[in-house]
Amino acid sequence: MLSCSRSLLSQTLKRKSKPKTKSKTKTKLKINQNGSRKQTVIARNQQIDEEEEEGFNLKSSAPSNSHGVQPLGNLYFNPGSINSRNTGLGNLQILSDELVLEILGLLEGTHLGVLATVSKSFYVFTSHETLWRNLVLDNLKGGFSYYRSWKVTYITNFCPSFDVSKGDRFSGLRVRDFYSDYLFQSWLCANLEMKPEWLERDNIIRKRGISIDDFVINFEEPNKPVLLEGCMDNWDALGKWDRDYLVNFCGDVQFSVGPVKMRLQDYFNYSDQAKEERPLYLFDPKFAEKIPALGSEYEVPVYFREDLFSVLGNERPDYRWIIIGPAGSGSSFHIDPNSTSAWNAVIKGSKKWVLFPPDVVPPGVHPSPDGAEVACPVSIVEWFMNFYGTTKDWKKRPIECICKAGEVIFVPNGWWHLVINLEESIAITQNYVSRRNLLNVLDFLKKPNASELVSGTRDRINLYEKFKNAIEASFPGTIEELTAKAEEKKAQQKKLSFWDSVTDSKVGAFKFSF
Amino acid sequence: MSTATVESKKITLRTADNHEFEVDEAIAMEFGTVKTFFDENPDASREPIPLPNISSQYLSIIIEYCKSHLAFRVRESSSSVEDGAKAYDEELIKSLDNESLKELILAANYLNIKDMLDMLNQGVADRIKNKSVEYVRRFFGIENDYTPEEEAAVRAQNEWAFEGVDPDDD
Repeated sequence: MLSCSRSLLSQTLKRKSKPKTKSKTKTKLKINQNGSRKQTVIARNQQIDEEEEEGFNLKSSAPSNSHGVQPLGNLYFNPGSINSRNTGLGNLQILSDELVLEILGLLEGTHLGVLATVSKSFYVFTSHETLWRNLVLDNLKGGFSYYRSWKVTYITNFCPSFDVSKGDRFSGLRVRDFYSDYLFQSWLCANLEMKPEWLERDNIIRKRGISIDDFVINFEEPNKPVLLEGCMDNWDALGKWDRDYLVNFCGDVQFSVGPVKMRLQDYFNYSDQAKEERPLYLFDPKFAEKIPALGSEYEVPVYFREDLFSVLGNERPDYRWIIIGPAGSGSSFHIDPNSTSAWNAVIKGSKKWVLFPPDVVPPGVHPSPDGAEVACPVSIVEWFMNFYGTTKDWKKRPIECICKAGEVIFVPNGWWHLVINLEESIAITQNYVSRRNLLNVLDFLKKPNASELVSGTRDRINLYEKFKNAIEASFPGTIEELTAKAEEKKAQQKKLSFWDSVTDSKVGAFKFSF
Repeated sequence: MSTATVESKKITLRTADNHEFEVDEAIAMEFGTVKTFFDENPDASREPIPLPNISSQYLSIIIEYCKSHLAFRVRESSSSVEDGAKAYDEELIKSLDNESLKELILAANYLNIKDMLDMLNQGVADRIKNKSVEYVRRFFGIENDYTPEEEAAVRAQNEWAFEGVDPDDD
């Protein structure tokens, strides 16, 4: 059920001529916000305030490769118009876009190439970049050289003798009267820039040069995020690490990029050219093992040196990653694994963070009851487009900030967070367990569905036993001590609430405090 | 030796054409949609579940599929069991005309039965791969909306895909 939005400007029908600002063309578009692209049973209750006209800034590099695809609502502006999407699909037209793409996803490249000539509708569908990206990654893994688009990359890698410039004159085939929310939204999200108002709010606490005790008492214990400045000042990486340095230094070493592994050079070649809704993200948990020198060019900030998983030695779960990605790459809402806390240090570039406390599920996110699955069906940009606005009115606002080079953010355990790179960025992140979250971690590892939830290690089921025993061995009595403290705290809190109910706590300034 | 009759819970499903199907709870739980509903509403009364999008013709096929595959899964996994399941799927797909295949995809999608949906999608994919353009158009009743120039241009752009494809392949 797709409802029509109030005012729409069709891309192919009208382009409001506006004075061009430096490099941006503002195209006013109102998207049908109800178009849930993933068919779920969950009803979407959130609605963007439709009174507010929304303009979107397209990247100046935005190709016209939407092929003239328009959002479905535009169809209603063309009375009597047929949707070439449907006529071109024949009997398949009743299937949703997602289903058509699922079927096409089962085909080989040659099949898709042939189908492109069946009708304009098939042309648009078979051009969908995700199909070709999957074909490239499945067949070539990380050993591809990206060129112009995933489809062209596929052709150049599989049919190197074919001259891909042959069809260039017609690569911008404009299809008239093709309306599809899914395909339009997909193109839009790949080419959208972050709106300034999504970047305005910066309400995180910033600290510089605080003591470890200060950090533990004011942030780690109460589980509050904080942005720490000045703790990377002695990092070699801060001055040294840039693209050229890393490419030269790391040579042919392969880094984890999503489902595949790639050389840095090949990754940058891809990230420079690709305009995607969900760009491939370089996220490698073994960078210091692969290139020990990299590990020595940074050091863990003093606040995070208590690292209890280290008692497991080589059997510890993944705990440190190098993260590299272009503007638009990032991670959609999730909670870090194993109930650990984390810190994230930006070496180059900048990241936008949105954080929600553990008891507040972000809008648009649907965790399964056992927490094993987090369904955030929308991409990062789509989340901002469709859900960010609703947080304005919430009493429990998210914590937000932009983290720049030289800054470190502390992500307390259990907090939801979303990150998007605003420019090409290089960062290091580590997850850790200290005495402050040791009990949480043990509880987490103890859970009956540990085999699904626990991550970063091959030995999920035994991790609880192993870790507990190792802690007992290295720090005997710690678990007991912490458990006792926690019980005491619980008892005191109960006491407090009892007295609260007995005394009229509003009278006078007298307040119990423990 | 007493043979205890196993009383399994039943769930009733009502189709668009007002037929009611009573199935074992285990079968109904193969439908992701139904399972999610009961996961989130554990105390919901077991009234007939309306399925306004699905006709009895297709629901009965779906129920048969789920029954059979559940039975396959219960048996110990072996190559003969796998072959059995595969054979069942092949027979099913063969028996379906395009219209039924398409309707079942919609139904399996609505009910969120992943395995069945994957199998059906593969069925469609198998019917269109390695076929000529003309065949695909006839097969799905598709109107060619390219002008001759446009079609030639798109063909040139995708010529690499046509190498080795027999144009008269039917």
